[in-house]
Amino acid sequence: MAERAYIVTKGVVLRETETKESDKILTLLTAERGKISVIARGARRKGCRYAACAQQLAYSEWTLYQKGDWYYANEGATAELFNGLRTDLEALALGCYFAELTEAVAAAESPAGPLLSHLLNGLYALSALHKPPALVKPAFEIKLLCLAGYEPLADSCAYCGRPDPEQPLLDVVQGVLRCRTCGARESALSMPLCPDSLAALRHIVYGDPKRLYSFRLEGPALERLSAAAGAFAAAQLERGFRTLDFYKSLQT
Amino acid sequence: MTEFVFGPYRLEVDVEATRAWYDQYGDATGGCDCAYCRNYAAAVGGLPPEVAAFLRPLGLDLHKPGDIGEYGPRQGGRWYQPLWHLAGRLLETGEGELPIAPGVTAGFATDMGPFLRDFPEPCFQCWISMTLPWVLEEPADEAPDDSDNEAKTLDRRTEP
Repeated sequence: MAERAYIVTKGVVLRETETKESDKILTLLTAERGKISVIARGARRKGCRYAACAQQLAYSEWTLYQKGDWYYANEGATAELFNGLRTDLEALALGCYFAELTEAVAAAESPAGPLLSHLLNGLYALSALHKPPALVKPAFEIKLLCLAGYEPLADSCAYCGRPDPEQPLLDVVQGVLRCRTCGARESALSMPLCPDSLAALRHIVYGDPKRLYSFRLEGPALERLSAAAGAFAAAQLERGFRTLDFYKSLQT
Repeated sequence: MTEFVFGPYRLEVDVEATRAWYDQYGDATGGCDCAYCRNYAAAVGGLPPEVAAFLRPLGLDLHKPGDIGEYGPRQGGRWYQPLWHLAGRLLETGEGELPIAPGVTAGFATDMGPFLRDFPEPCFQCWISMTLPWVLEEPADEAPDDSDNEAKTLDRRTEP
């Protein structure tokens, strides 16, 4: 009888779905294989040795084997559980949105190292660095879309070329910056920005990824950036996100 | 409330409230199952992706309109003008329609369409004008009278 080939890989649980009496189907994001579906048998039993690894947002080293189109969990060892998220509902809600958003842009069976790093850094910023969720959210959304190939052109007005557009708007369908009066009839749905939110947008798009969350923005400028980032994600990915709706429901 | 700009229009939308209404009441044919609405549901997926991308940030789904208007043959297909209600306010209005994709235009108004049950107030409307091919097997001109369907749509509408 042929020996079973095992695969050892690290991954974050993007989604967990309960199935059968005590199993889970996990959607894992891994660096080497991108998004994969894993059947974790017995993951809901008390004594399961990889129950902790099978929680949403847990980052673990998995030993898997493949049978047909499915991966099966054989062993798991937690690397980071992001416990800071699990004691803060707002941060946890945002972390779940990050997972859903990442799942929307990640491809199956295709390397996703930069996406995985970006997700881990975003969760770490919320969980351990305790960065304000309101600031982490737009930075994560915009940078994720950049990594997924939807980078907006934020260096100047797409119509007149002004580096500092007058009453700047982000056209969320075409992914370009423009002045309020430029291209009004050619442009699509746009979101108002201001000098501060535009500077933050440029920091996120063009700045050092290691310093992604190292900027300050507050009040209406942060609200504008967050609204523009959310609308940009919805327009580019052509879908809404229930986890985002839940996160927003916590703000009111 | 989230502020959007579209050409001369400036709008303020409660995206979550809008999406929540359509999640509860929205369906593929705007609440009607006449041949024209079924054709809309079958053919609308062929539109350029910019159309769905225009609607999504507003909390709207191209496949779940609030109401569908069909205005007869045009350019080898049928002229459709679906509309969606949005929770919020139209802060600045413009005239006419603006292109959002080749052959597809859109605009906003405050006085269009049926009154939808339980729709949050204040609200306004977004409409899109497009030509869709006839993809149903039954011929368009022999589509059954849709007067019976009026009753079926009443569960999601109320009189003004």
